[in-house]
Amino acid sequence: MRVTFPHMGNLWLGLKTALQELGHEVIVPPKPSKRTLTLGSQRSPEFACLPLKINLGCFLEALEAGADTIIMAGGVGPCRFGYYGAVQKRILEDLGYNVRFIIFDPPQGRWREFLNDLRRVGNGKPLYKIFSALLFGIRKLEIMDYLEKIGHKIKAREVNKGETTHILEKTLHKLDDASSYREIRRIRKEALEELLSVQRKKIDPLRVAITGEIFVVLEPFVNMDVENELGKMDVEVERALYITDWVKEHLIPSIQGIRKHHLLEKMSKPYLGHFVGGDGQLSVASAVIYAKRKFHGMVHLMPFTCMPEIIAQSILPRVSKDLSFPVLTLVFDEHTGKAGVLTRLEAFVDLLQRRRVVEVH
Amino acid sequence: MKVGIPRGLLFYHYYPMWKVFLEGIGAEVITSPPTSKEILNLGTKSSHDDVCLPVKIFFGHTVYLAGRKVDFLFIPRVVAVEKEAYTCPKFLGLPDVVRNTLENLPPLIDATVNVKRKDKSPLKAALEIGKQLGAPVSRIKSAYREACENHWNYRNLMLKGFTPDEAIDILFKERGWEKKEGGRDIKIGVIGHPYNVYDRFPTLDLLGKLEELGVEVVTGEMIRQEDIEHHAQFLPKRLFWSYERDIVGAAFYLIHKRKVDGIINVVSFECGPDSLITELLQSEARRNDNFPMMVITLDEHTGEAGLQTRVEAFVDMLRRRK
Repeated sequence: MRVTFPHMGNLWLGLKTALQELGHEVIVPPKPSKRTLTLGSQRSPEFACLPLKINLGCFLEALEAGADTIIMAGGVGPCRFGYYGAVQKRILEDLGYNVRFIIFDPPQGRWREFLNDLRRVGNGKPLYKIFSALLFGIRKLEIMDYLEKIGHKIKAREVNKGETTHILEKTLHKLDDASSYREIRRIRKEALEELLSVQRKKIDPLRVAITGEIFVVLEPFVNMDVENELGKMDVEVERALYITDWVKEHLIPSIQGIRKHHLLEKMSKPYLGHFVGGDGQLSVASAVIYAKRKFHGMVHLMPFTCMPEIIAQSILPRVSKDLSFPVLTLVFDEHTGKAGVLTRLEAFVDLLQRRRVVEVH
Repeated sequence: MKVGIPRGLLFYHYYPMWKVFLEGIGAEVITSPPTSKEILNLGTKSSHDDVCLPVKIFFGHTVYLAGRKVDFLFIPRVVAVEKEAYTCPKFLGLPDVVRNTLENLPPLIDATVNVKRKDKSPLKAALEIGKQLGAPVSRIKSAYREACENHWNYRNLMLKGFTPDEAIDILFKERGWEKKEGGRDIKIGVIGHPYNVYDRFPTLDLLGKLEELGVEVVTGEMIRQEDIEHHAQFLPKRLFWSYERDIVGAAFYLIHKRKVDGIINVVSFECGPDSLITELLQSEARRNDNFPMMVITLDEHTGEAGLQTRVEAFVDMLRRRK
């Protein structure tokens, strides 16, 4: 069984680790590129949202590389993502591929089906082995998330732009090779030291939050590397979403996840009184939260035709007006150009700087 | 007390039920006129660019009613109408989107209906609405019962082959309708959301055009729920949107049983669920000896001549195949 899975930011690091621990041969699809996008959008339904197209592109590239089994997350709605697997399977079948799909639906009360799927992936290993493999994968992701959070602060202040990104990339690959908890602890320590020794300017940067649909937020190829571009403009970024948050909310029920859910509900209540699937409620809630935390602005990222985010997008102008909190919504699809995104980001940052100057006087 | 019901989205599913209920608890029901250029313009101007056409039209109707001095706008939040599925995410956030986008609105009646939760059952929603309008509980309950009964009458009329407009006329104007018979050599299934299929303006009167061409039309609402349920099970995974599941079930039924000569699938631009189910329908049609199927995508720029040509060509092709 040669296993593959779709890309979403650093997700591959955790999944690859866990699957290799279980003794699978893992084929990580090439990083999403122009080619992935072209392959994917050629064969996807025209109005499907961008993540589906990139996913499909990843699968096609992985199949070229010899994969025969695809692991995919599912869902029970109402976001379209939950039905991706079923549609993608059908598309690949119609294209003549003979491929096995293992689709993980979030447990949400259907534990038996979930455990069944888990055993299939488990490769005959006992359940505790599967969990320990998963936990090891998640641990690596947690470290990466932690380092990235620190990286955001440093990127805004670093003298030689790009240094932090370089360290993070390097660490990512070191973590990929690591095979014990001791090793990853050492890598974390080293990376931290390296990050803290980056030469920094003494400035008080603008603080901008990034929120929106998780795939677009996490995948730099899709969002035109918004985080780093903002970093280059000396802006400190904070993301509302990290990959481990998603894992904790959907795969492993945790107090942290529940608490976060309640917070989101409370914060978005005055504007959006019900969950709308995907990350729609989060986007509205994060505007309220970051406005309270005195951030200077927020960038809201979404794929074209994304249903939950369209709802958020329709509501955000009101939140922005009420709280006097600038929000920039960027919509991404296969035709998005980097120059357009950059121009809008620059204009947004200019606006935030002006606002700050006016406030001071 | 005047309550306005915008003529859009779930209007086509539930209007008779809503009307009977609201009148039963002593409200006067006002609806907006059928969609027109004016209403569409009101909608496109007031809504966000990225929402789908049916929501834009709904906004148009809402703005129209808000300008007609109604005391309340009836925009319930319909979250789930069956245990295992939701409705479209746009319905989940509809009252909030309306409230936060439009200015100077009358108060909304936005009770939540979610049959997955006991405290959000349709009856609970009815009680909440009744309370909001100040009606006594006994009256609310009797109005609710009557409304449910009316809903089934409405569904039965549509099963017999009447369009929602005709069925509403029969129910409330007590007008008899003769079904036109004879001279129809081919049958076409027109499949899609009722708010797309039956709204004459955005579809440029597709149903009327087919009638003129001598085609017998079958829509999803004319198919028995058992058949729909049965054929929806052929999906690779249970679809978690109720209305879309009905569409797929209806189309699969028509394809598998060869009940019609061809299918026209009406979808709106930027419709999220449609983007996936259209793919499934097309794939299913291909797998059933290339069953004839045409997809018509509607948006606010749909042109009459283009649509007419495509429909005529499709009908001609079906006649040739016979």
